Amino acid sequence: MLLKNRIKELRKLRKITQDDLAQAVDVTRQTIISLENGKYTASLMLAYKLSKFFGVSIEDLFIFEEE
Amino acid sequence: MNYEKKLKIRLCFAVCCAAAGILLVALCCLGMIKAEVVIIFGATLALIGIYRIINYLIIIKDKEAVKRQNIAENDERTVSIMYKARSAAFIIYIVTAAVGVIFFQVAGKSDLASLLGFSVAFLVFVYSIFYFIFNKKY
Repeated sequence: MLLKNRIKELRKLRKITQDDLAQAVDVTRQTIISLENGKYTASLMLAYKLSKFFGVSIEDLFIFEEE
Repeated sequence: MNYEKKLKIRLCFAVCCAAAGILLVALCCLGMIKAEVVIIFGATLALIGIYRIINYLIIIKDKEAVKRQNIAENDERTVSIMYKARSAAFIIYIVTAAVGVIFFQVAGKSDLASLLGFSVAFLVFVYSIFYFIFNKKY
C-alpha cells in the first residue's frame, strides 16, 4: 500500500508557504517538507489538522494506492 | 502542563546544576576535595548550567520563541525520529555488547565480559518489563 497526499497541490492552490502551513498545524517546516516529499507519513492527529485547515476530508487529502 | 511552566521548571533545574558545579569547583579550590576529576566535572556542570540558564531566559522572555520552541520540541516527526534513533541505538548496543562479551571472554578478561553481559541482561530485562507494562496500558 502506498499513501500519497495532496498537501503540496492544495498549499500551492491557496498560495501559502510551507512555513505558514507549518505554523497553522503546529509542526515544523521540515515536517511539511517531508510530508510533501512522501518521506514521512502523518499521524491521524496531524492528518485531521491538515484536512481541517484545507477544508477537505482526510480521504481527499490522503490517497491510498495499491502497489 | 503548559510549556512555559515546563521551561521554568527546567530553568530551576539549570540553576541547581550551575550552583552544584560552582560549589564543587569552590570545594576543590578550598582544598576540601582533593580530586582533579571533580574540578573538571564541577566546571563542566557549571558551564552547562549557565548556558542553559541564559538559553531558557532568552526563550521565556519572548512568547513567540516559547511557541516556536514548543513546536520544535514536540513536533511529531522529531519525536518519531527520536524513537527510531533510540531503537537503533538499543539494537546496536545489544549486538556490540554481545560481540564484546565473546571478545573479552576469548581474550581472558572474564570480569569485563561478565560486566558487559550483565549490562545487556539488565537492558533486556528493563525492556521486557516496560513491554509488559505498555502492553497492558495501550
